[in-house]
Amino acid sequence: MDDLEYIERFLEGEMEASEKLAFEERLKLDSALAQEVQEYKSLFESLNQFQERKTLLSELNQIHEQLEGERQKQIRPKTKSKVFKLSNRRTLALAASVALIAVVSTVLVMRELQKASGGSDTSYQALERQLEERDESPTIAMEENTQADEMIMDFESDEKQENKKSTLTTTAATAFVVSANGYLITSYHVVKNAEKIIIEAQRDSLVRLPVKTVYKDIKKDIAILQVSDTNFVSFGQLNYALRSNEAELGEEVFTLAYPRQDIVYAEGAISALTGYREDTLTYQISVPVNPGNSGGPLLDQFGNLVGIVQGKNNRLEGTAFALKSEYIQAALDSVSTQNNVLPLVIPQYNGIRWYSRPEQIKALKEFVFLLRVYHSKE
Amino acid sequence: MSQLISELELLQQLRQKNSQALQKVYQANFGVVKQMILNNNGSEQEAKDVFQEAILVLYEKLQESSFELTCQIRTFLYSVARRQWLKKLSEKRKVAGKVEDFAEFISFDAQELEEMDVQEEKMKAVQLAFTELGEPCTTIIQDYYLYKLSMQEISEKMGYTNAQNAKNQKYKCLQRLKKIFFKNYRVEE
Repeated sequence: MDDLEYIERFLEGEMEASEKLAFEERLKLDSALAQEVQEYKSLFESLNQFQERKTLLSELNQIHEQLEGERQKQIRPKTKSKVFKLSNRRTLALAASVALIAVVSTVLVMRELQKASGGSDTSYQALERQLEERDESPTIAMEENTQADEMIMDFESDEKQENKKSTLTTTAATAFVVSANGYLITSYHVVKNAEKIIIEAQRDSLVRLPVKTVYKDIKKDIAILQVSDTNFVSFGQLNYALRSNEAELGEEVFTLAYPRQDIVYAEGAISALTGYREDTLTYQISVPVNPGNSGGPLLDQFGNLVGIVQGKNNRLEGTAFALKSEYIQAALDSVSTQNNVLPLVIPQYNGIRWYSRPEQIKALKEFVFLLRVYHSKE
Repeated sequence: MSQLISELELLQQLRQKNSQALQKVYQANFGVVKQMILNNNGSEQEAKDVFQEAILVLYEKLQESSFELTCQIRTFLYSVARRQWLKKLSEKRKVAGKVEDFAEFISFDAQELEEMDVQEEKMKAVQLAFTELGEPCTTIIQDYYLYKLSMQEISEKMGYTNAQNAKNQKYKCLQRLKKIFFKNYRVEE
């Protein structure tokens, strides 16, 4: 460790002349140390180049956006319906309300109405997974995270335990990280009426963290969660990027989620640019999904985020739905303004685009969590 | 003649990381690379990625004092992109070994090709090392070596009791990073 400090100061040119001379003498005699120095030199150079590339790439992406943005304006006549094409957030909100009032057949309204009225149309299925009430006990035995343990214990040793026991249900779904400092996104329907929410994943040890809902959008079916454990530091830098343009019909996509205790990969394609009953907020995807997939990220072949998996049509084989990624950044912006926190930004730079799929998954799954939601029966 | 001089000027500006020069070069050359890739089984996204990679290669070459560009910027970028794309195609096992061309290109000698590949692998190895490194190491290393925060700032941010503890942690992380980096990097070589 001491040597490492010397090596670093030597390579960074922070040594004084006499100290440097002495160190160089040591290097002549100690070939293992000399080897170490060479390796660190190479590592530091690589780190610098890596950083330069990152900086340059973000500049190039800006140039690209400008260039391609202008080109698109020139070649694309305004043929599309206004409501469909709006990217500006303010107009979007306006359009959304107009759509709500005027277009009664808008899917989301229908969906809400059906849910409210008990719904004769049962072909839309939201993808949360019901868990047995006592599903917890086997996993608790394996836990290493004592803090989470305590929390669960607290929960169960609540005074109203007797009352609660009979009325509590647990559902499981998926959430994924949208900001390293402790924010995740999921589907709103999953955390509706939640009393307690926990994210869970197997890392080096079992990680369990309590989270709270800090933003919800019922119409778009988005909820943003924040880790509420005070000891929490960071999820680490995000390695996927947010896809800024709409996905193309037929494009390959994949998702990672927790339809069971272990993370599950599924792939398919964008099979329609609108979702259930022509819902323009969502894509239809031909990805096999199951209860528990709700809230999972939908990614394109490069690992850019294109949407959030929400539900499926259980009357038709292989049709599921995912909210389009353009609504995600808008939701994040609302969180930072509503809660007066620093802007939450999903990076523009995608660090995994050249990875093979297994490597992409390995990198991405760090940011995908099993969501356990405890709520009272209605 | 005037075109030649402006090429030289442009190169000089690129070397100094002038963003207007970068924009010019991007604008003037993206089209032909995109055309090549779209006509050879590629997508817009792939065209963008391959072209940007070619610019990175040019940028890094320009930082080497020994490097001299012996052809037009356009030819260089196109040639690097063309070669990248051939590689990608063979990885995807599509039409390997052949692309339809839309501009002049130069061929690189074995040493140049190897340098390019080594550099690419090196950058991949760094990227991969960061994902394998885990927390808190990734954050500490990136904050210190990439974003150039001081140990004091890192110590406060990560909640260490003093900068010395953070520093010790940083050296532990650095040792691990080196191990992972060379594991990934040497396998590729």
